[in-house]
Amino acid sequence: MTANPITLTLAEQVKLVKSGHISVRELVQQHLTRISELNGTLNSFITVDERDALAQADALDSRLAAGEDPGPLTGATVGVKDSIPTNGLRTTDNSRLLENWIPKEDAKTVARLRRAGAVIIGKTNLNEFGWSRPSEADLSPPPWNPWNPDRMSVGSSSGSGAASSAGMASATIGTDGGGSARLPAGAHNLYGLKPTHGLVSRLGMDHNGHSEISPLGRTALDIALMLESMAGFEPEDDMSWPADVPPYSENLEADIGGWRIGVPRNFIDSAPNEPEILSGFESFLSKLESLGAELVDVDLRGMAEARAANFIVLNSEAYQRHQKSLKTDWNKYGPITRVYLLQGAFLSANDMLNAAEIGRSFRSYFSRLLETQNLKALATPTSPFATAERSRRPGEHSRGINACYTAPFNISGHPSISLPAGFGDAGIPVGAMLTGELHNDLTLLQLAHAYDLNTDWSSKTPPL
Amino acid sequence: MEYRERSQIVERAKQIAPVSDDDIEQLIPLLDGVRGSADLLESLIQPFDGEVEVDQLSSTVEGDR
Repeated sequence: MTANPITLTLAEQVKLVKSGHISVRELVQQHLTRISELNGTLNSFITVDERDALAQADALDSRLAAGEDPGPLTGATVGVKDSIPTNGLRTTDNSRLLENWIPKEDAKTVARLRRAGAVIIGKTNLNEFGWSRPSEADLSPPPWNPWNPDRMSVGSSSGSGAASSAGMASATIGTDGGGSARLPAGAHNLYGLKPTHGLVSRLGMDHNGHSEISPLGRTALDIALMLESMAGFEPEDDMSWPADVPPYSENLEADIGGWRIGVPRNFIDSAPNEPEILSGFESFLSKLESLGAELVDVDLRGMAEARAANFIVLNSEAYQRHQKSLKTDWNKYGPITRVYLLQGAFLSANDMLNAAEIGRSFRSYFSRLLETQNLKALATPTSPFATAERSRRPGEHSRGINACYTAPFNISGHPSISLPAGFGDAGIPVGAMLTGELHNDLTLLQLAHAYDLNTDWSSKTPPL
Repeated sequence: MEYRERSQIVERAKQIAPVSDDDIEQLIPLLDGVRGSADLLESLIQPFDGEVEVDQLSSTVEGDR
């Protein structure tokens, strides 16, 4: 038996379980021990049901003993953002409004993860309702970054980022409505993919049509294994894409020599990037170039307008969902969250439709840009800021500057992945991002895998 | 976005929830950002026979051409 399996990647853990070197129960117990050692400091999880996790493990061990193959994620432990409903497991959205809510059904994506053999180990921390700014007054205090526990984790899928990087779960899932999974992936030395809109069903979730359920993990292969288990057509979901899901993990190997990667220098130069962000990004580009990719300077337009459109849609949808509860339960919401949620009440249907039209125009434009320039992907930093504290400065947060690279691709629906790109002065990781053509998530995973195999970021673990 | 004056915002907010003066003070600067975004998008919408040409839009984070 391996001494400490939690230091391995998800793919390695599954291999150990399937080869009989370790039982699912042993693997789950190791993760539970890690959670009990660290969660009091890091606040990565809001709810962990040890008995339920071990029961899932025992059921999988019984199937393995009977000669069954439970699936590609057999025994892998997955932390689920606490905004995603889980059958029988408390789901709070980090809000006193839902403090005692125990869903009677899994969100479809969670059900798919279970069918692939995953163990749902607990519910990860987030900004209240995935919105707002975190506060010590939240139901669960904000998570701290394992790479520097004096610093907050970037959200909103902050607990998912912290849990994955600290080895408290094999992988995690978050949601990404403006960067909320890619930003914490970048700040935790992880890979985090926002899939093409409609590839992973949101059925069972409550609001934000462009908030995609997104895997976060330590390697590109881990992300591929998670994605192929989560993705797929759900006929009851009107946004679900009716197509077969390719076996991403079996098709990761690719020679990226000659692949053209767009770099929008003018746009990047206009952002208030911190120096370590630019340093990490240039190293990232150099590595791609050393692997044979061709970097192409592109004139990228409309990012600010697309970010504004995404902001209007997010605000409208958030208010629509909360309008009744804001009236009846105002004081149960956090004092910052309730004001954030109120913003959408001041928008009109015309504002929302204008945003949708700009979003459609940007989607067409960006796909055309990739096609006409023969680009496999566009490269940018994931965030202009190297710490959560900087990204939450009120003036910049309310204008969405922290999401200047990420949010436009929520309204457009293009797939987008954050990759590790080094560390900032505070010891917090920084990310670089690749964005590609609709329904070509595989190309991004191939690029990420080639990068992963030729860098050592995924072997690094936080100094805990 | 039709809510531009402080009095309009206060009236609308109080219709929805028991907001305090502190809540209003937090809300007003946030709505400046929302209004800016909504006005920007409205300005981009073209006449019936036109389309938004994204390649003529901004090239910077702050929305400058």
